[in-house]
Amino acid sequence: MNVDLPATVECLAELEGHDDRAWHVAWNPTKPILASCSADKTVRLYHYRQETEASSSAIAFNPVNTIQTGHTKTVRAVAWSPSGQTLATASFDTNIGIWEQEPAEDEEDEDDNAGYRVTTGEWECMSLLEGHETECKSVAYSSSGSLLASCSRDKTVWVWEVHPDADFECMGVMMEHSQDVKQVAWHPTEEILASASYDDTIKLYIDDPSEDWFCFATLTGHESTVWSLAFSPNGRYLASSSDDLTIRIWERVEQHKWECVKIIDGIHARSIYSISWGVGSKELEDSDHLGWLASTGGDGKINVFEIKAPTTGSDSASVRAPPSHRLIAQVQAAHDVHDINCVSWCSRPGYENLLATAGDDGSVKVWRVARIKQ
Amino acid sequence: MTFSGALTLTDLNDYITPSQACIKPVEQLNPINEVQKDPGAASTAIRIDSSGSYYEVPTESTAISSAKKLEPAQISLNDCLACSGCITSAESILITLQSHTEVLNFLSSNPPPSHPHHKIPVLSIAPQCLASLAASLSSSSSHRLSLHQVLARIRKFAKEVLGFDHVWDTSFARHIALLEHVREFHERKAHASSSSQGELAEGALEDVGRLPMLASACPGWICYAEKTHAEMLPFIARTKSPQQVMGTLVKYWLGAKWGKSPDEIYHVSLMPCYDKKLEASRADFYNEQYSTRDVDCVITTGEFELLLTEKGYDLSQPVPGETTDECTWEEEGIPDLLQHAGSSSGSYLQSIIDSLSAPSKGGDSGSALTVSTNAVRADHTTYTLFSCPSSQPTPTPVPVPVFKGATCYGFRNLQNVVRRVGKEGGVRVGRGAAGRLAGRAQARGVRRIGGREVGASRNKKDREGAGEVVTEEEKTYDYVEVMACPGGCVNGGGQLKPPAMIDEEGFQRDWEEEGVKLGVNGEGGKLELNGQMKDAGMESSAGRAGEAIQARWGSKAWTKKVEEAYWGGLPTPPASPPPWRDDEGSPAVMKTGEEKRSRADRLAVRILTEMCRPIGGQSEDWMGSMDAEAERLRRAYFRTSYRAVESEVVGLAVKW
Repeated sequence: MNVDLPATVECLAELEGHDDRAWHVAWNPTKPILASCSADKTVRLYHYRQETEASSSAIAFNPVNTIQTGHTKTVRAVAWSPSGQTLATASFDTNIGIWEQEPAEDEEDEDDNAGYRVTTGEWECMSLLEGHETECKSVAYSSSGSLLASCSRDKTVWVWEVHPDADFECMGVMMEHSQDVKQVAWHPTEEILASASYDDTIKLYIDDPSEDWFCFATLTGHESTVWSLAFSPNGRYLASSSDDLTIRIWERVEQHKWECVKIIDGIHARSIYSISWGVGSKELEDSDHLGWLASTGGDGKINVFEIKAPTTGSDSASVRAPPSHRLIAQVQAAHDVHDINCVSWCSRPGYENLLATAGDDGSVKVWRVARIKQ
Repeated sequence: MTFSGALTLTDLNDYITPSQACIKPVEQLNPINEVQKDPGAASTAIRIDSSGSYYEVPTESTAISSAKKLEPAQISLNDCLACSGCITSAESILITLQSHTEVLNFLSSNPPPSHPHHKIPVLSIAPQCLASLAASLSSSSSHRLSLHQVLARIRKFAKEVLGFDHVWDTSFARHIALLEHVREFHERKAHASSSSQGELAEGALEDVGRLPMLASACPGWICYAEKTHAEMLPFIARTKSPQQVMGTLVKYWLGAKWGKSPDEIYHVSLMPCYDKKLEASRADFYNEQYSTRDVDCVITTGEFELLLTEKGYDLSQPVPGETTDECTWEEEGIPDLLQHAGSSSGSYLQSIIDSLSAPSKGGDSGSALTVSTNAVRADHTTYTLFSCPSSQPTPTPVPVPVFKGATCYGFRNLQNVVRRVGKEGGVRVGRGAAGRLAGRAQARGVRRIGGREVGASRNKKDREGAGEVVTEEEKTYDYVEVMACPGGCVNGGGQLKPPAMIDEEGFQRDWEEEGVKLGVNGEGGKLELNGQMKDAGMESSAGRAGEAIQARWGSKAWTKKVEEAYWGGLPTPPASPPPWRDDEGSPAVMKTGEEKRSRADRLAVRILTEMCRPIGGQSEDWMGSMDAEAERLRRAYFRTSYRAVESEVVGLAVKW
């Protein structure tokens, strides 16, 4: 850990259990649950809560469910619906599973101190979305929860409409990328979809009036595979991370136009597999705060950047000022010598400084980032 | 291998594409004597010379003499069909094996008629190709060309310049395909209702095929279903496509009339679709005895245009009599351009709706049927037939849905058809990989029946079977006209591209007439068609997004033009229903249209009789049943079958 940095990273939990590489973690947006998935074809769910002793700020994580998904290959990614009721799994067996929890048969639910009832009901596969020809790499719900996107090595990006009774209707199949599509991400408020690919590009999609989805922009600049995407919480920026060891920040300069305004490099020695952009915790009276951006990858390092909006001093300037970034915290060898495949900020109020990572060692770790009080 | 220019014709966004890699291994037929090399010594490189031959050359030497010529990899269409590496057309391969140059090569090497090895060259043209050509020719002239005119011009070109003996369009073959299709639907319907009453064993259903029946004319869809959705195969109609019915007519019916065996006829078809090449090379359409296919070579509209260019022929020049004989009956009595109202993709759904609505047919005698249509979204429309039982005592009888059909075009809608039919039919959707998951999802459906979710589809089907009244919304599909291309066959992958002068005056006016204003609205992140965009094209702010949208609208507008040409100038397919009676315009034309159709019906029955030779002579009409042997022949001539292709690529591990 770097002592000069203005924030500390504390490991709150090390969650064992997966028998193989852990690929992805996802925080439930409404409930104190963290989900992880693995090459062992399971999804593990952990419940967390603030310790009851007033003196302690510790947060306890406990496994509550293990879903034996039935996927015949690796579960590569998981995603929660905005309601927190539904979980989607993306698997190398080409399918997407849609999971919901059955009510527990015996009502021996325990109340946690935050009023959340921990239920042990089984997670059922409500629906199976097929269509991808090869490994499904990523899955994501839109901000309203009415759409689900997925992508695959088959180079396609699919958009599904979520119907009642775990029914889905395919709304679009975009065959725009020339290679493997690594990740899909939705804009935080609008129905804009982004995809990152092995073809070094990022593509952006919207629905058009005749109800077909189409690619309206291709963002080029990365010199190698684009692994991960993260929109800023305010939706004005999109961050991307790549095998070229850079993070790029793209700004929405017009309604349907995004431009690269910043390149962050020299911060990772190997592929940057995952980035996550959370609201972070801002200092008082900091109106420029754009949140915290975390990155991780093959070098086992976690970096946390504070991103700030450009100062609006010279508004007549024709050249757009980029947002500024500052490294505020760092963890070396966060999963020992292993690659880290995923990093994710918790979005629940009060827990926005929690970060989860999933590594090749099969473990999931939870970290708390805190500013050093001056 | 270069791609034909024809391949880049249209907006291929929504087509089924070849998969990442062809898994057909390259075989080295003439083993080369390996020169032993020291490990680590300079290796060799592959070089391609100007004629396209491949050479293996040592990297330290550039002399061509030391190079070894390599066998080019050969992949036949049948390899493609047997392989699951690609979803459908590996286009470059198809083009070399069934191309316009192949047609020219055949015609130039065909010995004269007096020669014993002479083959009779026959050309069959899909009406959608004529529409594509008509739209293209009309866009560069002040006159709108009819399909009859285009057919007359092609006929002249094909006979006088190319040397074809006969030229037909495939609409009469489609007429027969539709008759058989309707017959098959009623067969399935009868079986489904008798099996739901417990009169038939479950197995019998599989022999006849299941409901909903799915259209069988689109080879892209067939190929996709065979490779990735084997569970759909029992639902797909087994009636041959118009192309293959035409193949049967040409090689067997006409061949017999001419005293020619199937291999003494060379049958070329002109199709809007590349996948028709795959269809033509299916084992079912290959005659082992004579080593010949029912359709020897398929070329697309785009390839036909290349052929015209190569021959320096101008289709925009009128030919004598092209406008006078609107009702020509070509030799052998096969009528030209029979119109079937409904859809420009073959009117399969409409022909079934018509057969149900026809007063003399169906069990619901005495109750009038009404149709309600619902455009679910682009390329997906449902048609529900309601019966109003007149016996109902209530003052306002509640219409009961008795039939629900849909047209579903494009890969996206096809996905939803597969999901919906799989669900409603109670079959497990998907490949082995889906495995347990699907089982679980289904187990859940069963378990919840009787509970809160009465909407569970299996339940719906049961309720229908039990004769309960279901709503339009609840009614399950009985028939789906499935086509793989967005917009259907007029927008087939092999059709002509929109003319280059896309921003020419006439075109823009047309867009405006259609209420299509190009633009990206500034608010809300939602794309809107607004009135601000003027002839100058896109506002600069729209940027690349605007260009993408413009290209899409250009392609859509063009598809609309082709559709118009297909219907002889009407902007949309004739309203359906009322069926085709309305589309013919004046009563005089209508009369000839009806007469034409009844003559076509009579000819179809005559063909059926001549080919199937039922005991007791002439069959009454196409729906009538014949003796067992005649029925066997009917199936052999007018039906086909499908088989699931096992995936060979499952099991390849990918790390990321």
